[in-house]
Amino acid sequence: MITQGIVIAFLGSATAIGLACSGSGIGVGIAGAAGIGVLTEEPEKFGLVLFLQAFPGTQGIYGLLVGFWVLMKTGILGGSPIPITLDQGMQIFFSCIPVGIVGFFSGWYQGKTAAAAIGLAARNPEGIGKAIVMVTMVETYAVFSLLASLLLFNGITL
Amino acid sequence: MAVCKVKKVNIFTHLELKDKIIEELQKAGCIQIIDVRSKLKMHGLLDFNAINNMESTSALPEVKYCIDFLSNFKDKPKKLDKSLVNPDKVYDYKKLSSLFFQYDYKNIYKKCKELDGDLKNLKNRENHLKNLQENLEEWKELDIKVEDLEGTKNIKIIVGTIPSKDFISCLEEIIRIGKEIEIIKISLDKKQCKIMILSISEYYALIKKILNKYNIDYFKIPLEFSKTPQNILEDIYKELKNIEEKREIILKAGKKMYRENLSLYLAFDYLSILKNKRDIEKYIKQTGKVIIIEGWILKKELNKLKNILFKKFKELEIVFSDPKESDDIPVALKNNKFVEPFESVTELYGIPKYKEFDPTPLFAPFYFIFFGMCLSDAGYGLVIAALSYFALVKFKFEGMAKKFFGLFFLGGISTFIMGAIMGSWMGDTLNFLPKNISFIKTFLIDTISLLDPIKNPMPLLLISLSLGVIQIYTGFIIKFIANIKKNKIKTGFMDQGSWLLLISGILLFVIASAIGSLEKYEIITKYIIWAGLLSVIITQGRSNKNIILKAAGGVLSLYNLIGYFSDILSYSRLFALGLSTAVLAVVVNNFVMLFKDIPIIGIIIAALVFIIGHLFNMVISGMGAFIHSTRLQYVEYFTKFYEGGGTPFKPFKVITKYIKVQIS
Amino acid sequence: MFKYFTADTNNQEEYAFAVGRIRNLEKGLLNKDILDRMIKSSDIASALKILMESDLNDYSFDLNNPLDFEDSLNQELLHAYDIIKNISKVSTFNFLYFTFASKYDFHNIKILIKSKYLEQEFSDKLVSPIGTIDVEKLNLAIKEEKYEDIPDSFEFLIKKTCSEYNKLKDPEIIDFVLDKERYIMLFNKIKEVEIIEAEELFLKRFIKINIDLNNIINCIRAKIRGEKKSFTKEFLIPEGDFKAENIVEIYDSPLSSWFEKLIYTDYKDIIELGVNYFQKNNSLMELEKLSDNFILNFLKIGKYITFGIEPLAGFVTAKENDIKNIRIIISGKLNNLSPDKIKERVRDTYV
Repeated sequence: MITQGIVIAFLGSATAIGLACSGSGIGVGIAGAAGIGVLTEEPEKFGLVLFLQAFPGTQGIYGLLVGFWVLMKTGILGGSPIPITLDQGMQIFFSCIPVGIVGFFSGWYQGKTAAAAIGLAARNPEGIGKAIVMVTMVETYAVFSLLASLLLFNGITL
Repeated sequence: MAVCKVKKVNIFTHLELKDKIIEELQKAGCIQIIDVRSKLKMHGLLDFNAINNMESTSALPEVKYCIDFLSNFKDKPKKLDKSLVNPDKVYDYKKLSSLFFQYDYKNIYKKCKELDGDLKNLKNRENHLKNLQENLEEWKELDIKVEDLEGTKNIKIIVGTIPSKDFISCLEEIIRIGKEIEIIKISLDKKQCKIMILSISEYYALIKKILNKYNIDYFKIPLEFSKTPQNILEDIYKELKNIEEKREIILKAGKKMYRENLSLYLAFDYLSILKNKRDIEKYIKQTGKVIIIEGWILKKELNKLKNILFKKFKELEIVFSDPKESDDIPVALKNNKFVEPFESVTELYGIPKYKEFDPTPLFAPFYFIFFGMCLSDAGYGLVIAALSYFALVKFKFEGMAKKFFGLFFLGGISTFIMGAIMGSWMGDTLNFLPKNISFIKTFLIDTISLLDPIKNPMPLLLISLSLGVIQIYTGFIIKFIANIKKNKIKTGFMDQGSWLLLISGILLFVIASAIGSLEKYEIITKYIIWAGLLSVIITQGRSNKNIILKAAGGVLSLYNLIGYFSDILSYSRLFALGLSTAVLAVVVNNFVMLFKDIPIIGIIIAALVFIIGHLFNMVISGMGAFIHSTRLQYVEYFTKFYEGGGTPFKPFKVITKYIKVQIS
Repeated sequence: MFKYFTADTNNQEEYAFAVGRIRNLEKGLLNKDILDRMIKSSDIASALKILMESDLNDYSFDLNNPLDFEDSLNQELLHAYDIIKNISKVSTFNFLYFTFASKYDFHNIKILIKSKYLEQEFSDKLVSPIGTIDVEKLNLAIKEEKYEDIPDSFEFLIKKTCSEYNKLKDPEIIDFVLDKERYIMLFNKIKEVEIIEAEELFLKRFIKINIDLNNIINCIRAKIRGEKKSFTKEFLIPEGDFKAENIVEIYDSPLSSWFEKLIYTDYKDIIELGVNYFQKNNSLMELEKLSDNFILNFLKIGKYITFGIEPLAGFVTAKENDIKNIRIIISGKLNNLSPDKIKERVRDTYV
């Protein structure tokens, strides 16, 4: 049965996945451009560059995770949605906001940091350990937003 | 355990023995020779830089050039032919030089140079022709021999392109000049118009001026061609084809050379061993008759060095001494089998200074648990552990790679344990098992599993945060002990003790007020908090001189409290990442179930989706697990007690890039 | 907002790609250690060998004929410029290539005009293949006054230079005029193209530093030759930070007191040390070295920036600087200078 609540829950799921994945897309794009720059000169660095390029991709996964969790818990994915009131739908929508918005910006900025780290990897591979820490610092906030979304969602009684 | 003891070693010997001793030291590979050039110049010491060693001058660069050049012709790794060098073969150190001298690399170098030159020439010619081709393509319609365009003494010919919109006005202007002008339109499209103008030579300059005004683009083909553009194009096409054929021949020759000349790798490695020896010679002091080799050696290898040198040589003296404080002492780590793989994480951060302690055993257990919690799927754990074990056995890695695969192996085991506890086996795959073996599920889920984070996430979150508290506590205690060991008891109590008191007070208070039966202890915890607060305020501002600033500094330092709690909060990532693996695995399984009902191919698609989906999740989550457990050590844990920044111990030894060498 | 946003991310990707490539190439730049070893080596062949063995770069020399090193160096520089051309060709900052490569156009024009008026045949070794315009076309324009194949701005330039020369018949004039016109052209170019603010700031600062140093060196030269103030004033390049009037003001005071009057500028040390050295050794070598180092040090910011054109500018200049250093060392070895003397001459290194 499709209720108004379900529609809003859809919106929430879409927000989480859409925004977070866009952020990751931009981030991976920027990091990838830097990576291709490095590979033009030195193709053997492919593994390292790919590893660094994947960093801004996690925000998208967090968004996907929250989005799918919403779909699973509301039974949409199984094909038999449970009746959800408008209030519950709004709750679900708001619980998806953190991972969506934070994922967008954190993915974008992590992409920039990753691009810089790829530059470092090209010039001085020994320093890569520290560069990775710098890149992960950006991700911390995406993890926090994921946590917030999960906890908020967990607080909703369906 | 931990940081190895290092001794300084000085070897004195006769000048004649120099080469032999260096060779033995290189083979032994246990001593890091110090560059003494920068130190004070003692009287009577010769500067080795002044001595020019021209033997095999250009050999190494030449061999390197050949390898680089021929590697362009590398085939897909097929079975290698029976050649002198086989990548899996291990060579005897003694035989290297004879193998090298059998081999005529000069000849190969010459051939490579030739091929390279030919290729470059072809490329240049090709580029030139392609440019011409591009220009000519536009002028296909021009049905006049190019040499005729030069005109005669009296008649000039101008050919070019002008923008179509200006064509009419340009034409009008030109016609106004005089009668003896013939304008031929070769082609006209929306953008451009190609024209040819014949005129008597007096008008030539005038016409050009007008045309320049309209931005004419002249027809620029060297006049040496004597055919029409169409014919020239045909010739160019033929020549390009010809070039392509020639290149094929060169490529074939190159491939053949590549296959036949794998000995280049041997030559390269042999020459670099020689070069290393030559380079190290510069580090050595010498007088007219005696040389002094100064270096670092691990304490446990003292006897090995003595045995090797005294067995072969008699006229030498070895002196060992303890390192001085002021020296930059190199650091080597030594740990047991379980902890050793974690050294890779320490090395990424920067190994400890000689006087520091090795943090590896202190974080290894945490790392082990964290990795498992981030991935937390028994199925993935088994796969990762099996793959890394296979890789370790099959490829026999050395150094960093060995440590990394060891780390993944241990991480896999930890993941398996954590996954079993959380009841995640490739997500919820167990739910879909056929009825007759569903007892496996009952056993794995109902008996072994303790938590179900998808149904009830809170316990796992609390466990993650408690692990954070434990690790940060451990960090403080380690620093505390380190301070006390260094006889800085006061600093220890003031810096770490006061904070420990405050933080434990707060935590105890939270616990006491959360659990009903402990309510009566709440008042005690409040006293602990007050004591902690007071001690922090009193001690943390002590570096200031003024009493008011001291107090203010103490109060301000309470701000750090926020930092420590955000550190603890940071451990919630263990929960979030663990959950994300589990949920994504469930999502993959959901997709698999969508396909299973399609007849016949459904099963195949479902299997593919299952494998690819889980593989993807495993790789991405595994990367996350590695990165985030590492980060927790670096940012939250190490900052409490560890500095790092030591120089690694790099003994002078036989280093090869391509082949394996065995030193008997 | 969306427009701003897409423009921003597009640029970031372009920068990221460019800088990714540059970071790799930076490994090919020479460091102090290699230079030191080259300086200490016994002869040219072993110096070149150190360069080739250093495993960092693409220099390749024919060690059997070490004296042919010039070709290899030119090739290397051309290669560096090709890379910058390739990188910037497809990006929004394609003006960058012109900013740097036009230097060689002007160099070629100088040589060609001088050879025309002094009636000497120019040798191929003197002109550089790097410029944005083919040397043949320039030659056609200058020798036979056929300007069809070169841009209008250059036609104007050549005509102006020739007429200035014809007034005074002094070859120095050619250098002065062309130096001045080059910077004016660069400034015009920056105004012409669409350019992001951060890029514009950096490029303007870079060009201004070049102008200032050029002005200072030219003034000191003119002063040493005893030129009149009015003559020198004519050829000072405007647009610098360091206004032409300032220099004119102090022009008549003795050279050794110049730096006191310029104490509040960035260039005080350069002038003080450079002039000191000149008065002791009668050579402007130190002044030139200091001014090169100043530019290089300014560009070192490129090592720390990921999203911008600074690394590209830094790389090209560093490569030119490296090649200059190699030339200094090799010609030092050719003239049997002691390592200390050579060391005095080599410039700073970028890495």
